[in-house]
Amino acid sequence: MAHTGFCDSQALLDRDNKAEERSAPLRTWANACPPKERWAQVEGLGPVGSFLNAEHHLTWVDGLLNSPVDWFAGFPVSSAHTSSVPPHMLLPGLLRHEMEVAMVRLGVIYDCTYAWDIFTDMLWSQRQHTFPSAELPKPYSDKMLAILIDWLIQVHAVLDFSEETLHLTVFLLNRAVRLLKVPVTSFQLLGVVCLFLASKKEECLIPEVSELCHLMENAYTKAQLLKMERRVLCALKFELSYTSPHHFLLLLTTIARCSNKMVWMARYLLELTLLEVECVVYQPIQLAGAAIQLARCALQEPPVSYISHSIFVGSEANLLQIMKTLALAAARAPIGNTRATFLKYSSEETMCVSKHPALICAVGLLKLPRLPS
Amino acid sequence: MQNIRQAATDAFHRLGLKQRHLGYEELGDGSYGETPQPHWFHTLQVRRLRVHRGRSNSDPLGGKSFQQEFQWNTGLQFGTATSYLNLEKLGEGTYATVYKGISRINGHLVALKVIRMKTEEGVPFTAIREASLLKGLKHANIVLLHDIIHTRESLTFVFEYVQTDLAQYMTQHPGGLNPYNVRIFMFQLLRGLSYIHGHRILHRDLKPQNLLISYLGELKLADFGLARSKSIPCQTYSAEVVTLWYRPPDVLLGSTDYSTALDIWGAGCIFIEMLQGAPAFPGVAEVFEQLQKIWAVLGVPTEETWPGVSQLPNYKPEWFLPCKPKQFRDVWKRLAQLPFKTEDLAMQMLLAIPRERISAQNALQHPYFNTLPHPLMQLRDTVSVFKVPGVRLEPEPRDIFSPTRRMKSSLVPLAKCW
Repeated sequence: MAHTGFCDSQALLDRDNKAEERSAPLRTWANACPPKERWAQVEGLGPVGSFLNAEHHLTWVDGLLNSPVDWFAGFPVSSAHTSSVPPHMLLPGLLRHEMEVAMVRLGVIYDCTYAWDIFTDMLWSQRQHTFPSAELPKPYSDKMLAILIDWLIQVHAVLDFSEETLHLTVFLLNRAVRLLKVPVTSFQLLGVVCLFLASKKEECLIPEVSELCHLMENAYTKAQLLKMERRVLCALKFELSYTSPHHFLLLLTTIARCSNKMVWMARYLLELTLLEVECVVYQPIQLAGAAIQLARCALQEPPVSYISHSIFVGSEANLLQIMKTLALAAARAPIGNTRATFLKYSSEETMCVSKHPALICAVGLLKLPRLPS
Repeated sequence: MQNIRQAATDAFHRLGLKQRHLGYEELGDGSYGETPQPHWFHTLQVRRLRVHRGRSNSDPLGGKSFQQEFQWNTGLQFGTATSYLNLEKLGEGTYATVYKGISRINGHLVALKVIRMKTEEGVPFTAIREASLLKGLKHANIVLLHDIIHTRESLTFVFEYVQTDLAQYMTQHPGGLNPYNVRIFMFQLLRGLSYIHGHRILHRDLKPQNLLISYLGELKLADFGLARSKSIPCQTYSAEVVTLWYRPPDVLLGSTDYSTALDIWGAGCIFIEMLQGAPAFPGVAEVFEQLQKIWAVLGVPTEETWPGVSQLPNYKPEWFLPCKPKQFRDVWKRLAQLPFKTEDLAMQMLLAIPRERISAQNALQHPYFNTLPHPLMQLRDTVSVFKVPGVRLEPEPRDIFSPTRRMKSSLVPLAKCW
């Protein structure tokens, strides 16, 4: 029945090809591991219990990377009764356990069967959610985009949407700006349409079109908004999935058992990345990892659990680069005209993280040159 | 940012004075895209006619010159309406109409789901979710979305054409399906569920009408309009999602933090329905009656048997007649005629407590499936189970189209048309 050769299946086929070509360095096993064939066997491995042992850990990685990805890799049916176990059972036990606990605590799943599948799927899909360059097409500048996003953050706060919706909005906006030719006069409309689409994807309550037009002081008509929606959907080819960095942030902080204050701080820093144009080239997990690391620097909080360190987030250089950008952004946040995020996180219920004194000199924490005043 | 005024209207919305969108209430039973239940006889007639029609493909056009209209054209593009030819209407739902069509690009049969655009809210959110989720899924047991055609008035999703669905299949073969075929269908259903659950997606609307069956017996999950990608942290979903018959007790009791266990309950109900030939918990329009049907089998839960149940909003034990848990084999007689592992799998799927229900991935490892050929367990995602030698449907015990004759495989004649 395979109807191959259709346009939309191409990307997915490609993804599988990449999977097979990829020969990842050992350290990146977490990002490289998912054998999409769920029952592909990893050969020559001991029983599950021994995986807390570092040697076995490495064996596992070796075995996995070298194992052929066959259509019928010989895996016996009733795993419970034989010595061989599917690979998701062979993961380093403690990390797997922590991931399950974290997902259950975050309310993702009841049964732990899918914890690792879900995490590997997140790692896979996020790789497509970056941009090759931070450059914007001609009429737009970084500043215009930042102002629009700042306004969208305010609208988002008023409509009381979830964090995912905001990250998805900005991701869609970044894509739409690169794909569509929109006159500068319709830039705000484009932003609102992205918010509208993101809310249709994520939210239970969807704003009315007239309400959105009202928010734009009726600068555009409803018909214009719906027309723009059509254009954006066509340009994006209905691909609205996004692996939000917010999800990685929640998972990583839960696994690392961060304090509440640190989670808020990291969330604040992560939201600052939305306004930084150069952040679009990094993967969501890198943004989340950098936000957490900078929050840890700022609050001087020692890590409680080292388990999360075994998840490879990104290269040192990348993380440092993002942290630098973030530190500058955090220092800049209270002044200037894009302060929505700063204000949002300065309230009592967010533990006033954005006003934390350490953030003003966060750049100093990274031993970087001070801000030019 | 019309702050105060805006905040005020927002507060009103939240108080429920003015509803922003119809939500799921309207869609709960809106089996759009599929033929509504009462029309089954009509549909069967159509299908039967098609069997007799043999190869004359020109008939559906109503006498128009088929040759002129229909030419395969390599110059045609995906994404344009002219690339497809409507053949006949297959069904109508609350927000979409489904046509059978043919692609002028490559001659494949397709199902065209034409979605009406609403002037007030633009593209319906169900369409947006369905398209964006299906774009990311590629699996032999998930319906394939070929193409999307977007015009000013309507939005058309082009799906692969699948001949029938499980509801029609069960109508055609009343009194319970062949247990061997049930095993193959169940395996495919759980395989599809395991795949989407691993991709953070809940189907949320499982019912026989949404399980498409090809002439070979391939089962495909369809209709992802109510599905959504699972977010972290899980938001409170609307409680009004699954058609009542296939809705688990925790959701009926008002729980909103449901998870993959929701789909497993639905699959369990379908399992019973395929074996028994009648819905497991049928026929009521009201939540409490539906719960009563479930308690009649599982027994009324108490805080001892289900810790935390008394916290659920709709839990009112005094409203329920006292019921003792029963053996599944006493309620559904077909189970008594089959080996115990069949009943065991059904019991593990139909547990009242959601976190104890078996996951799709574990269910595939259940001894019930041991009799299937072993290579099935190692299939790649995109490979159909019928590629494995020795896997094929067996004749069903009854067929309403040929009551006298023992059919070889009822769907095979259909296959010969194309």
